[in-house]
Amino acid sequence: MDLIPAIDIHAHPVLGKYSEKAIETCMREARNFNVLRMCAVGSVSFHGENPGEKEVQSINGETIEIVKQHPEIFTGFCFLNPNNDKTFILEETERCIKKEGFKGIKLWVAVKASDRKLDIVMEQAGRYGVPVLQHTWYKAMGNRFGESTPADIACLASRFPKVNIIMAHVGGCGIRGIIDIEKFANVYVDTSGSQPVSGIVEFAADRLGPGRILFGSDTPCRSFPSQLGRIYGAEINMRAKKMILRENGETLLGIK
Amino acid sequence: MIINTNAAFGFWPFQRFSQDTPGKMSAHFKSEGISVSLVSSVEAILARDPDIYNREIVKKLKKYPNLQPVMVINPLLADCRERLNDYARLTKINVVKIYPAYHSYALDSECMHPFMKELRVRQTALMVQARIEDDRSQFPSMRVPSVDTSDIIRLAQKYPANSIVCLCLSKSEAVNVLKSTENVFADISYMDGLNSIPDLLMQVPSEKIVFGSHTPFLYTASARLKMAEISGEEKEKIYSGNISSILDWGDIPETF
Repeated sequence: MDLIPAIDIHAHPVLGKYSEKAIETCMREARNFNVLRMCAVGSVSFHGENPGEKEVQSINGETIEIVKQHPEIFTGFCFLNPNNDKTFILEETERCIKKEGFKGIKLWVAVKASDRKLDIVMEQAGRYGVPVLQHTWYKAMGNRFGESTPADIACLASRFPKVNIIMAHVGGCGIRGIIDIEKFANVYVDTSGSQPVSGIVEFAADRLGPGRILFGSDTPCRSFPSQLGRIYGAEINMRAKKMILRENGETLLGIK
Repeated sequence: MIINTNAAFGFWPFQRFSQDTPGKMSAHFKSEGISVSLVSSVEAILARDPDIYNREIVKKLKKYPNLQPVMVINPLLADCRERLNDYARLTKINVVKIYPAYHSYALDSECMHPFMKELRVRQTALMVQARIEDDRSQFPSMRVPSVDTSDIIRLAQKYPANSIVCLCLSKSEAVNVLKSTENVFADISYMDGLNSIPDLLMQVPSEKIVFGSHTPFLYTASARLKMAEISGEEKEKIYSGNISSILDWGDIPETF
């Protein structure tokens, strides 16, 4: 099978305790499947759902280290907790984006995306011209307290129409999630989330257009072959596959 | 040669399938390089008596030798033994499939004893479908739990002469079950995580693993890509050798 070059918008080269071996395995598997670049979004769960400032600094410190060691394959995203002090968020975004050249912001499950606490994060994203990648899901058993749904993303997108938002885990957001954010042109989706369930990528391509879909693996929770299979197996044309796998990511991150 | 152990055909109310005719499914598997797929009825999953759907799928797949029907059994039904008699005449494949979670019985319930004995006498293998969907992404009003792996282990240990093929176990579940039993095998369809298949094969012998895609629920391409992580003899065993031995097929013709 000819492997299409890809950029992974959602990767955790380390998830848990920092490990050179984990990073090496991640890079090796990426190379095997022609994933040219990965956005390292941090070991977001290592300090729990609501990490303090030092913990956020530590997570980003690891990402800085990973990007410095392997700039040819990793691009950094700045992990933030909107519950942290505003001054800290300003300083941390300056450290990661302005000084270290990170290309995006990652948010997990501390605060729902519809919460006003995200204002400072979105203002910083707008200031630096980087997208915000927000963990999102519609869970059958109900979401965690601070876990965003696609409806929260729609609320955020309507308040910050000039900031690009990546709704992570379209596989977990499903059909309803895609419809929630359809009318907000500043919302992209990443293809990660659960198993490679058929039909969701096709639905997203139909409703959003392939230009708003980005390949995301969520490695190491998921494997590159499993997650690439969503794109390779989707009944969309080759042009759309190439856009999703690489071109949209390059354009959004300005790394062409 | 590639034998797909885990496939189904039919209508599922929660997901639209591209392979919605037997002709499309047959062509799809051919395009993926798969010689034979073992296909059960999707409708049988939600039917109290799967018999009507078993007979339907035999008729529907008759013209497509690369789609071999697998009968679904509900051991709770009193005519289960007669059904096994009937199905032995209707199908070429000596295996039946059960959906304990959807047909609402436990693997240690009384109905299993005569059923397992009958399978043993007939030397018919048993497929246990551990899950259909990620429990986080099920239709909220139709949540069905996965089959508990400890129940599978107890069943296998109680009936050591029966061959049991588990479908859609996660990698960690598969390692747990396969390390605790001699007579259980697992398909790769739900195994995920970075380096998943090589890592699996570090923990369990390749003789215990079979190729399955869980099509049309998941993309076939994902399962095919996962197999790119291994090579040589292990690959051949997983693709066809192991399932041939389990089902005592002997030499399988390329066109079934």
